[in-house]
Amino acid sequence: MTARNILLVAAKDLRDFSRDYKSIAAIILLPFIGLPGLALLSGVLASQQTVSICYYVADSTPVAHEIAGWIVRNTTSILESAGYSVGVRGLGRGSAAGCDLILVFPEGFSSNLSRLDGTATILVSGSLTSTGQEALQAVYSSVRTVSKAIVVERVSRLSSLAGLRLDPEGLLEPIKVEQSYHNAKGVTASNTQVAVAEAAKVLAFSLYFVVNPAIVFMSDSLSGERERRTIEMLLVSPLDPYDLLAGKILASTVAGLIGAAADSLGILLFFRLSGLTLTLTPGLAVLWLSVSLGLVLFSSSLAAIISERTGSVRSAQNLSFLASVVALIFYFAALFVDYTGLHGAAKILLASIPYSQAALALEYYSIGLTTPALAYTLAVYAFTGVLVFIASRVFDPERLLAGS
Amino acid sequence: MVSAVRDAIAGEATVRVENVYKRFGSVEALRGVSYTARPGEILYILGPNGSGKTTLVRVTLGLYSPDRGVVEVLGARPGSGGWERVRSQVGYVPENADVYERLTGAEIIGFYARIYGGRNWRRLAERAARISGLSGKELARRAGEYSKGMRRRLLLAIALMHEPRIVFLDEPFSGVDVISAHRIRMILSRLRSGGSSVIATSHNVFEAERHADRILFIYKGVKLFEGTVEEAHASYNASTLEEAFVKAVEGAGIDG
Repeated sequence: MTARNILLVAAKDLRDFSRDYKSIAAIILLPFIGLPGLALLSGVLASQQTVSICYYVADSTPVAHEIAGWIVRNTTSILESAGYSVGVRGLGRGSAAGCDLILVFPEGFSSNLSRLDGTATILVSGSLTSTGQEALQAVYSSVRTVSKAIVVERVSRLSSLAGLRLDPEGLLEPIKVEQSYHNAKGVTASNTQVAVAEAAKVLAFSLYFVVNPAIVFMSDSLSGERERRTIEMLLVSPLDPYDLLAGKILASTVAGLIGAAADSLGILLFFRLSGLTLTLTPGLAVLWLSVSLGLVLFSSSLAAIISERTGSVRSAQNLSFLASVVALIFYFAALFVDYTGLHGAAKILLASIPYSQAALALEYYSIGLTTPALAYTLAVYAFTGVLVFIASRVFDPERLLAGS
Repeated sequence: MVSAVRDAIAGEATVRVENVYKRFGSVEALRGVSYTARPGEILYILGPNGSGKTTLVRVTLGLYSPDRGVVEVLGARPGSGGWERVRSQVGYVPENADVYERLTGAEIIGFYARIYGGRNWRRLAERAARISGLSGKELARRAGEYSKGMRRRLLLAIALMHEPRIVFLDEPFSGVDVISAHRIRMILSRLRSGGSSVIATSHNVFEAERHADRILFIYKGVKLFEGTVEEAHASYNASTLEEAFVKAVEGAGIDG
């Protein structure tokens, strides 16, 4: 094997790839534009949604009208701050069509409130749409605020009658919870550490975007040489077949990392445009880059083995896609499952697959356990090394030429 | 087989293939085929589609491993220590070979020139450009825009840029225009004059009749005849090579 020939093959493949605009669009530009586009579009569309609030106050007292008005205004304010346009109208008999939220303040509403132990009722109905659900959440929040104000007022009245000085807040919340987080060593976690733990989940999921471009590139590169009938002259030339394989793995790794960088930037933009925060510490970023590189190499080698044994680019990509689906399953599950807390067969399974090893490395690092995080990172590279070795051992020009 | 052994002993043969068998699943592609090629001659391997011509070439070039039999090219066997040297002295244009469509002709030549020439790649690239007959403007265009004849000339130039001692051409005239075919014929004649062995496969007996020094008939993986055109005429009492081939097939009584 010579580094010169490996670089020669990689340079040729990357030059060829750089002019394959459709693949570039699929691998790099689509996620880069798509994810921020999704955030922008959903933001724009959310602002275009109109919530229609309809209300009817059957209780003619000023108090009922005042409270009803406040609840409607506060609900409107909550929905507007979430990006909705809100329309409010009074509800006449039989005119509920088109209303996302219906509020009815029945007769006796204010008299029930005026009693120290009275319960007033508001009839609330939401439409069977996502805006209806949002409006219901908003109105519950508003009602909770009003209820709390009424309770405080009632406690003040009671304490005044009893001649006691009481703190209404203490009566309302006799037990208060002071919440914090701690890391795996039992030490209280800083706000940054909490944010890193959240970010690690997202980063573990984003590894899918790292794996996919490498698989697509390698499938096209190796099977494509056969399908486009360029492989035979190469195999007869003085180029060592292992240089050919290594050059293609190198090219797909570079393409994979470029794709991964574009995807990652897309994810960051998605978070920024969605108004969410993604906290990245230098350590987490370095770890993410390390496992990404290992996974790209692993995926390229896996795709090389598959591509050599399939007859066409399409079948190679289909089979390689199965491998990427396995990766997707693990990374999607990582969003919801604490891999570090699993035991037994599940843990052994996760520890033996590089895709989940990478997720484990990120999760362990996020909870402050750097030793297992590094161990799993090394495991990714160890498995990758073994697969590269297998790929080079089973690489058979005759099979590549015959395509089966 | 006797003649193959004799030539090898005499040290004349550049290619020596002896009693080679190759099977793909249930299909026996080659059944005990032997042949030799010598310096300064054009050998045509003739046979209908599916007769085993391409398989025979691929076995000779070490692309396929024979199930049985011996292959020696320039004294080395495929996969042996000397095979690396052989690969730098062999040129090959497969039948359906194509170009990297997104690269320019010059870039493709440059890629192969670096493989064959290392540091001296520029000299090889210049030679390839000359052999191809493509202008600088044409070489600067993406090869995907080339006609079939231009592609064939580019591939032939790549196969010959390192002045190989043996050249294998699989169906060299298949689908090329008259001018490109003429140019390829001229190149083959020059190679013969320069002492190279040229081994071409074809199903076109008329082409072989005019240009071959020796011919090899192959049918359903079995060699039927090896010798000069005149020897073929005499052996089958035929006035044309086409007639000789038909009689060879009819007389062989080969089962599929």
